[in-house]
Amino acid sequence: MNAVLDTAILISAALAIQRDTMSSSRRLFERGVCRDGFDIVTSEPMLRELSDVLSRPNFALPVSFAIDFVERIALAAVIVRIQGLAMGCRDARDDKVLETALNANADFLVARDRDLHEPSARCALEKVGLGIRDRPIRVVSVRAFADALDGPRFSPLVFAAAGELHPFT
Amino acid sequence: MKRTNFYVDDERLTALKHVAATEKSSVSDLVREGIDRVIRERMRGRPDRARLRDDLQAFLRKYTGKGPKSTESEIEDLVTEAMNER
Repeated sequence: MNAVLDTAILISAALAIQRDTMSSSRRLFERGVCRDGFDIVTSEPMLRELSDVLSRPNFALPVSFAIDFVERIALAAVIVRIQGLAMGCRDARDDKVLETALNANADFLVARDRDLHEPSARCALEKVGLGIRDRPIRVVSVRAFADALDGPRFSPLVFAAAGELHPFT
Repeated sequence: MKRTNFYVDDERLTALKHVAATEKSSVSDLVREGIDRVIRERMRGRPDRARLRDDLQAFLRKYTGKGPKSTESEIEDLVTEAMNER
């Protein structure tokens, strides 16, 4: 199983590690970079955005930490190529996340960003059909995905049948 | 082996048929070869889980708790602010 984690989740995980707090995002990061239960899928533009945000002065994160953090992801993840296409997101900066999920044929897009739960984004990801894909890419929250990894609901099909919405964490 | 369907544009299909004819192969064989290449390329160089776990533990030992103490909700507020400023 593979999943795209949006940038906000990874930023949250980085801060939780640096500030020694346990959180759903941190647990997801730690499992993902060990390929424990799922593979992280990402792309170069997503990794660049992550580096850019981690380098913000207001986070006061050491450069070595930011580099090591991104490297952990790059080492473990499946990195797909994207072309920077317009995908119809309300915020065009989220288009790369959708394109990454589509190109990777990801099972899940785990998103904290509310825009990625909007109908316009979900429409592109949940489209199924001949020559497209035989199952939708599910857009879920961190908590829903983390619960599903270990719980009895762990199955893309069960998620689909349950009509999983987006309980924000 | 399972049967599957996908769309491909005329230009690619013509070129693929040409290559298949030239190499006395079939379009299906070439598609399977392409799939194998993508899998090899994407999976290449990925370390095994044991090494990834060791790397993560070293990373956590080096960096955990080096910043100011914060609660999860304070971190979430910081992230929301940062993502709005992208």
